[in-house]
Amino acid sequence: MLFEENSQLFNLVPEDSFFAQNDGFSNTNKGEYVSPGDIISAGGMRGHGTRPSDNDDEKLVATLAGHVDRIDRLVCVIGKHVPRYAGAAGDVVIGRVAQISAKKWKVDIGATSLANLPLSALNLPGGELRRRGFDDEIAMRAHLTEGDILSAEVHKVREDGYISLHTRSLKYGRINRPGCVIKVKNVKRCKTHWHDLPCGVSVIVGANGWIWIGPPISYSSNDSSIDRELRENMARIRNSILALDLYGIEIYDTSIMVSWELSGDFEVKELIKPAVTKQLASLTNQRLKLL
Amino acid sequence: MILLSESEKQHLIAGAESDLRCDGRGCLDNRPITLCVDSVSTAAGSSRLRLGSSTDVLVIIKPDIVTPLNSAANCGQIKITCECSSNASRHYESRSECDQAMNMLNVTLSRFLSSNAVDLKKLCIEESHFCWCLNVEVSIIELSSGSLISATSIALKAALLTCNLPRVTVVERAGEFELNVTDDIYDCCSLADFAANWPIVVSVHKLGNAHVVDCNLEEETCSHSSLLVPVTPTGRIVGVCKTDHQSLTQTSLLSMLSVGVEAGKKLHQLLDVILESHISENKLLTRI
Repeated sequence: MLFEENSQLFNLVPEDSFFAQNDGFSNTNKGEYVSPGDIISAGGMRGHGTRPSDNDDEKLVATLAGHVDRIDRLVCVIGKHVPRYAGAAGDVVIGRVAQISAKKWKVDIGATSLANLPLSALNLPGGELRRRGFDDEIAMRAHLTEGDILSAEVHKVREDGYISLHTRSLKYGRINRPGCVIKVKNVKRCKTHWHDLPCGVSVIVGANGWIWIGPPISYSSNDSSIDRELRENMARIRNSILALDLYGIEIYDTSIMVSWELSGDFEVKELIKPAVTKQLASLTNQRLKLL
Repeated sequence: MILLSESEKQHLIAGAESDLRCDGRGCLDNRPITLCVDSVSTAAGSSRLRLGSSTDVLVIIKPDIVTPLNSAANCGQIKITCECSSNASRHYESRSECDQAMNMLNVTLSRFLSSNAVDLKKLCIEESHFCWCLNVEVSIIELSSGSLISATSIALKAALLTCNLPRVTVVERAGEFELNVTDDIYDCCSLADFAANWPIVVSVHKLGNAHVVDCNLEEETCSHSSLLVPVTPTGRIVGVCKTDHQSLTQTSLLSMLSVGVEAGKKLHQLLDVILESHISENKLLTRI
């Protein structure tokens, strides 16, 4: 049994470890820690997060708070803070409808502002292709109402951050199956975003970091109860993904499956304890390095 | 309250009814809590609590010596103030929601000050002349993981259990009372006995037919109704607060109260276990 005896429910910690950020396992060879305005010790070609100093052209000044990363002569600063999703055309994202306005839905995808899903970009049921008229505009709530979860593709991203989405394919659209949505920070881009995992759980990994976990497509809404084993697997996948994300391990189908297998040694509800999370993330990291 | 789709709500409620929630917990299981006590050196007692990934509460206790009220000449006083940080949550779009959370906190915490669970006589120094007034400041740093009031009450109890007041002696001189506060910073009295019976508030939510303890924000959004149940370590209920406008049947109400009592007793035990070593380090100190 890998389970540690002392992973209690209540943890009393000293002050410095309360605020300690865990550094994760996937970072190697970090340089010194700098904050904006610090002069980075050795000069070089300026990369992300640096700019030439005003006083001395040779020296570089950091513009971000983070670690210095040197690759040959290229000097970058890798910030600890993961920025919000910026959007890229063609990305598959999971979003939640926040508002309905004239001929479009405003969808929250975790970007700096709400993305737009125009009425014309929505797939009508039955695959109809026609111009959207006044009646369609009134009946918008029938398709998507506030709070609905949907999967969509990013159509275009403007320079000012305006993102527009479309759901012009049968695989996109509102997700009707019961499930839950979790938000992570490190998503590895893969060829496909829909994964039907061998344990019977279906996962949609959005490029914006939102992940939907639920039963597979073969589940029908008439079958109103998800059986206990499937529910337990969904909880297990959810806790494993959150454990990986806490330690900076990239989320993609292989890492999810590996962590699901390794989490079999623990009970599902133990997986939310900090000590168990750390152990699971460490084991997953080691196994992924071997693959 | 956050936005949720119908399918997510259906999933949460079905999960609660089958005793297997989103994260695998049962209806009566709590999330792990990280606690840090005595971190603020300028306060007599402090505790910081983190629940889930983003409910963060800081409780600071600063004592003061005041004249007791005429109506309670042999009792001390406790004043509780709550403050919410401006970036406590991105879900609460308007200030009024934060204010509502704070009002509820104020009401619940002040409510059991007037109960038998808290013996304010222990805070009296000299009847009608001097008494301790504990100024409790609660700062809500983040509240995105739900269970705010429960977390705050645990943090408050932890701060009180580890609070040390400076020793004071009263000298009577020709009918006048004088107070001497000791200069030695290590000469203090512990409030561990005073706080031993302090209640912890458990919030019990009704999700479908199930009664659930320690809900996160999603579960709180789709709950039908909820009760705030302050429970003492012996399992006595100090007062009950219903936070919304939905109806509850009598059977539900009684069942939720008993769930709250069980959960409350468990929380008290867990808190005592981890603070035991901390309190026993101070066992050389006299107790108020």
